[in-house]
Amino acid sequence: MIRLTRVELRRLAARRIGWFTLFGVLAIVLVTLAGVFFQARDLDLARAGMNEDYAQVLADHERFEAQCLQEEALERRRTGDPAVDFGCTDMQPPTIEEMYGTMPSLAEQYGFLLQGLVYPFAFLALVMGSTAVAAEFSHRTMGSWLTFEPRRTPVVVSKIVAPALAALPVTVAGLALVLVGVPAVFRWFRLDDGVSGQEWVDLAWTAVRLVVVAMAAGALGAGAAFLVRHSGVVVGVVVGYLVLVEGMLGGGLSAVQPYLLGRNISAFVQDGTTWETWTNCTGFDGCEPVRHSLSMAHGATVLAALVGVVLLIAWARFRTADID
Amino acid sequence: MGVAMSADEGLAVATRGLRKTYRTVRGRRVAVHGLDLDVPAGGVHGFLGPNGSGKTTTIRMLLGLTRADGGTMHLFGTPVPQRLPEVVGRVGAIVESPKFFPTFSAERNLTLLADAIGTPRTRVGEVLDSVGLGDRGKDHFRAYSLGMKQRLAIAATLLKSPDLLIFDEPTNGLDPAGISEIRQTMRRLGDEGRTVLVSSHILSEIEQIADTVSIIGRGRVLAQGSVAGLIGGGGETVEVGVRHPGAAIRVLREAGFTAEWMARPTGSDAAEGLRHRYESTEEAGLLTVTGAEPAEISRLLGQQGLWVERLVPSRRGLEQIFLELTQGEGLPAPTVDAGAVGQQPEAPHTRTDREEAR
Repeated sequence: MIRLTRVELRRLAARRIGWFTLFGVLAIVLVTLAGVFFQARDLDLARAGMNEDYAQVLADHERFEAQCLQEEALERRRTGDPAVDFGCTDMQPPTIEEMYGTMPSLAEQYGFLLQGLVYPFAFLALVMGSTAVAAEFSHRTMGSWLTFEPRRTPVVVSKIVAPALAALPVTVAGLALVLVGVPAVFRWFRLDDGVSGQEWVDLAWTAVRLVVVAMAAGALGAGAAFLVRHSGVVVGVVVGYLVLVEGMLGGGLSAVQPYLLGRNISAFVQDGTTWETWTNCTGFDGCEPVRHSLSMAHGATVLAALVGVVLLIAWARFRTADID
Repeated sequence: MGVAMSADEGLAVATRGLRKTYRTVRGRRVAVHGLDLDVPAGGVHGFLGPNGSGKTTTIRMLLGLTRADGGTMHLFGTPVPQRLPEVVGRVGAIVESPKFFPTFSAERNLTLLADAIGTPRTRVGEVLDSVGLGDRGKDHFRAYSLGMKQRLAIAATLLKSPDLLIFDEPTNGLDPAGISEIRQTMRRLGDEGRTVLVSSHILSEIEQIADTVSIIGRGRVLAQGSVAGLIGGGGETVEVGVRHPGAAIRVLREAGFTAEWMARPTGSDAAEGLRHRYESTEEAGLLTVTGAEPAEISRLLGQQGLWVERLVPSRRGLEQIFLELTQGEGLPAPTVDAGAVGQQPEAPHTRTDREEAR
């Protein structure tokens, strides 16, 4: 089994899909880091009085205030009432923070990024796993492989474990780029890059859980490919699920929220998640928010059940299937 | 699958009552129907049958790629697929066309296979050299010609140093040079003492390289034995060109000889139509006559005013035996109702069985 898994890893490393996945992960991280960079740059330029947009907003405000005071003075002269007050000085120009938001702390920034990156990382790992296995069916090399190793269970296990293991270095490479890139951006703009010890511990666990999700997605993709034998079908099913179930059904039925994949991934990676629904929307004061939460254990259970069921069916089907 | 039976002595492959039925939208199609196949250990064994007769399905079942519905299979006395992992190291196989990763080099493809079975990587270079691909090992598989792909597949089977090599239609799509090359390779492997089971419907190639053959049709063995025995069993044939061939056939048959139309019709109705047209237009026709000397044929026909225009003695070849045996045994394969599965399908033109052939 270990020998077969090593061979599968070597095969995956030699295939373009492995490298495409790595480059995809790194590209997504770079785009995300670019987002962080531009946010910090806008804030920095505004603080330095060099942001043209913000300078324009301030100039517009001053012009408006001057015009307002001018009209106020005219009105006082016209009415002879010195108490006329247009409230021109009551309106304050937007602060830099109001316009560009506040830059989160480094630990918060890490948290936001990990939370957002888990989905593309998992999707890429899933595509890698499904492509690795589906290609063996489309090239019809699976049959040749079985003439060398006819024991179906070790074959299916090795071909599922390999993409899961391959997702590990790929995801870690992406996380390493995040780990290096974000502080670099903070230092470039002289932002506070302090992270407490406890924050590092929390972030490390979040990263570990992100890696686990990506590995599970790799295995899930491989297992799904054993069932449908085509990576396009696997991706189609995933996209269809996201649109129909997560988007349409999840948006309309709050009862299914605790079982949605996205909600449970968030709960698992972020050590629990919360969301709000609204009730009693008939009153004058509007709706009342109802707060819901999912624990990390719930997320882990749902994800493990999903992956387990798919892999079990894949194993059972492959054991008895006729192979071309 | 039934209970494993003891394997016959000296057989590389033995199947008994092997059955496989495919379920399709049109019903069930019997691919293999009670196949009793014996492949002696050592030498080249031709596995002949028309397209759709069950050759590839049989090979796939032997290799564990397709599940049998019934019967038993043994490879070197080991029941398969139950104990296939024990014996698979002695078996190399190419099923249908060679299949490798197109973007990998030949070396990488073989290295992965070698790693999977624990064979030293140095063996990869050896087997590539043995099939003449030593200097092309770094080329991508997709850049290979069909002949090179076939040779690479043979190289892959040799990674295990197998005692049994199974080649399914190994010369399909090859040019004459490629066919000759593969034929020589198979013969060489057989001469080395390995068992080479080669499925084909190209009879001339089997006749040239095989020591023994099995001829199957509609999933059953129609004949099997040594090539010499099969060919020799039918006696000498004389090809006769004559006007009024219908009348000539009657004369020869009345004299006790076997006379047939040379271009065999594919069915009795077609045969009747062909015969009628020849007789009514009095065109010349070609006959094959078995069991008679050319002089005797000439004398008999001449006495009846049927002048012979062509008289060519010929040895009865494997092709003729094959055509006789498999007439009506090719496609389409029988499609049966669910309730009819398991019943013996009618064999419309079975001329002999394997005992007779032996």
